[in-house]
Amino acid sequence: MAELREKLRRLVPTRRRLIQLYAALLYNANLKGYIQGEIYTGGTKAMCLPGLNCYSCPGAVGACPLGALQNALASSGSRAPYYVLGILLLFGLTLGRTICGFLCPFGLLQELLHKIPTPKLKKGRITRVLSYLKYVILAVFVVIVPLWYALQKYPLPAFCKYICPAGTFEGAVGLLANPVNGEKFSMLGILFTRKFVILVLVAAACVFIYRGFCRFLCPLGAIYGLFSGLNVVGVKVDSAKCTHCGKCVACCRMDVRHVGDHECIHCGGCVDACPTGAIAIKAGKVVLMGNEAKSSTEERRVRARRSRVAWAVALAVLAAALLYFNLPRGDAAQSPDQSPISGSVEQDTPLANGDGGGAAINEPVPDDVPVGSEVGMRGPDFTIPLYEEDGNFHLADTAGQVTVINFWATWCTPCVAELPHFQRLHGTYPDIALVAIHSDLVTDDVEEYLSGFDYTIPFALDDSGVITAYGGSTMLPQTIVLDQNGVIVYNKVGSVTYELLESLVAPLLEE
Amino acid sequence: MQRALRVLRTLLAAATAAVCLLLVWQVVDIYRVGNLPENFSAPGVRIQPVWSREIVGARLSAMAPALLGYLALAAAGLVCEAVSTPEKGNIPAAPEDTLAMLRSRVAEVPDVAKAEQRRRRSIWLAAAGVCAVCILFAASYLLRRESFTSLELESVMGQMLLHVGPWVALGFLAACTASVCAGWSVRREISILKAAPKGSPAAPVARKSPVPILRAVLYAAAIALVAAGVVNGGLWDVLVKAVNICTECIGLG
Repeated sequence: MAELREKLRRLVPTRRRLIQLYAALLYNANLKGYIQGEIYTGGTKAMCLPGLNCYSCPGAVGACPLGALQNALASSGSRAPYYVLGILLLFGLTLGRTICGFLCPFGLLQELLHKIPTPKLKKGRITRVLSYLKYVILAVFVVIVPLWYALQKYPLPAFCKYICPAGTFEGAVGLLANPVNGEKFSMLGILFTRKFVILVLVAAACVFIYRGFCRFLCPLGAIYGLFSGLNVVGVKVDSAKCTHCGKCVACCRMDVRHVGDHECIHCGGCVDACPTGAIAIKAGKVVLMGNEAKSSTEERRVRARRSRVAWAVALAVLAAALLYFNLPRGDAAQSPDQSPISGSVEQDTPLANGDGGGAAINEPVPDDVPVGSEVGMRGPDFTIPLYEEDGNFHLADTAGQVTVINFWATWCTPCVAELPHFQRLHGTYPDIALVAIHSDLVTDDVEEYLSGFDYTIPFALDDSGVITAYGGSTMLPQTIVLDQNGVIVYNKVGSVTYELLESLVAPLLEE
Repeated sequence: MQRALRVLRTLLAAATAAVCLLLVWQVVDIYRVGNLPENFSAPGVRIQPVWSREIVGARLSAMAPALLGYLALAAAGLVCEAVSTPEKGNIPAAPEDTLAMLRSRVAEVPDVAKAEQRRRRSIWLAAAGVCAVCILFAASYLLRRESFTSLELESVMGQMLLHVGPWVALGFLAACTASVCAGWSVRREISILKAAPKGSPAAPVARKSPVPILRAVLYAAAIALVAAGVVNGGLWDVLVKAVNICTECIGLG
């Protein structure tokens, strides 16, 4: 009976597991994003979440600190990354690698994979040395490469783009799994292939190696590890009680040299292993999790009461978050995610509905061909202001010409990478009308950005929701090709090559 | 039961490796097929995209028996683990902790033990020297602009892997070797200290920790940085990039 009770007790999730599940659910509270196949675009995404959770995940309600740091460094030519550095400093000082142990969804995933019963790789001297590899990855892919390419005005979050398995799993696979995003498969190529292979290898490694990604590859863990000894919340050792028996280090599955060092994820696994009760998880001087066997009844009672209050507050916050992010708000025809950004695109704009109205939008010319964003439909007319030139770009003025429209942004790596292809197309086929339309969400001075290049293609600003009218939303880049009658022959999200553009444009010119 | 569990663990290990290889092979094969010459109507222009829902569906259907079999095996393994009695074993303390404990219990550290400490210091200094040389060679390659024939990131990454990667690997190899040699030295010192006479060494002098002051200064800096970031538009930058999907940044490319 006692044996059965012990087995059942082992099946009950630990407090740490419950906190991890709670954090994963709170970070991804936008559950309807999974159903709709769209990411959340509300104001809470200005907040960085502590753990590794890709902001391209349909459920994510906050920003990934690692992605935000790389993007901030990539834009450091125009703006110093104070905000992201300050946020990371706050997280590191307050929680440090306790975030890894309690608040990281990807860490939870690794631990669940590790539960699959296979022979496990034990930690040792070699794994301790290899744990420094994440600092090399932090230095090269998160700091040096984005900074170096920022000097070439090329935004490149190298870790996100080439390595991050969380982005591939939560973002790419999370979006592609929804049938609504079926057409997005066509944009996949070598990059997705490589990243998916990395994801599979990391997942397989985590089955055999406890937190394999955390220990050897995660730059966010490397950043938080720099705050070991400084973080307020974490595992602390009472040196007066410590007998240096080493049981804490022996039972730890991370590559720690001593409890609380830069490899310690403050999971509290050593708390009960300590024979003298010298170890506890503390927030300053307040004990959050102590050795139950060595604590007095009064201490256990106080901790239990504190825990009940904390869980009540936490569950209330979670319930409020789930309601806030998932209940529809306002008109059903409008996007429920009303972004507080001024000038943001509303789904129910007159342009999106194909209605006329507003100085920037012209009435569609009556024709048998309906106006819309699909291939075979007539592209909606629009007028938008041009950069570097006085005046506007008016689509109706391009009647009789093949028209190429590209939606881009200075902060979008593939967008910037493919601009030379459009420039080359513009030079080779001067008879076509071409316009590169910058997203209305501007982070850099676009004219100043463009002044560093010799582009002759017209650049414009999407100040009236043109991208929404052409079926786009939050994904960039997007390219549309219209024939001489203004009918859409190509409309896709994703990078294009010069050869693809030429193969679209040349046959139309020959007709 | 324990023997059955060991067999199941070995089976699951093999199955995990097999499923991993199967997935990698399928993914690479999809890319290979998508890039066959027959799929190109003109250079750089594909007839069919490399990836599509139909292709993925067909491949997953073909792999379904293997994947479902693996999931069933994993589930069986988890159930067996849950119902079995865990093997109780005494995990030995790390040698460094044993050394720290022994040092705290000897009256005076013998000269032979001090020699071992000096030997370990030399081992780590030598490893640091090798790492420094590796960093020097790697940096000299990276900082020379003419090292990179093209600024295309793919080309840069490839050249870094070829020319800088070996130096990084050598540095890690030196550190691993030093770690192993240091481990042998620690074990030798442990056996020396075990034979040394016991005593009570002098209590360490209690020093005031600078951590609270440092923490306060860093907290003030963090709050100032966040405020500066809100003012200079950093908050807006984070929001803009988080509400839009840079497709290649999540692997959609």
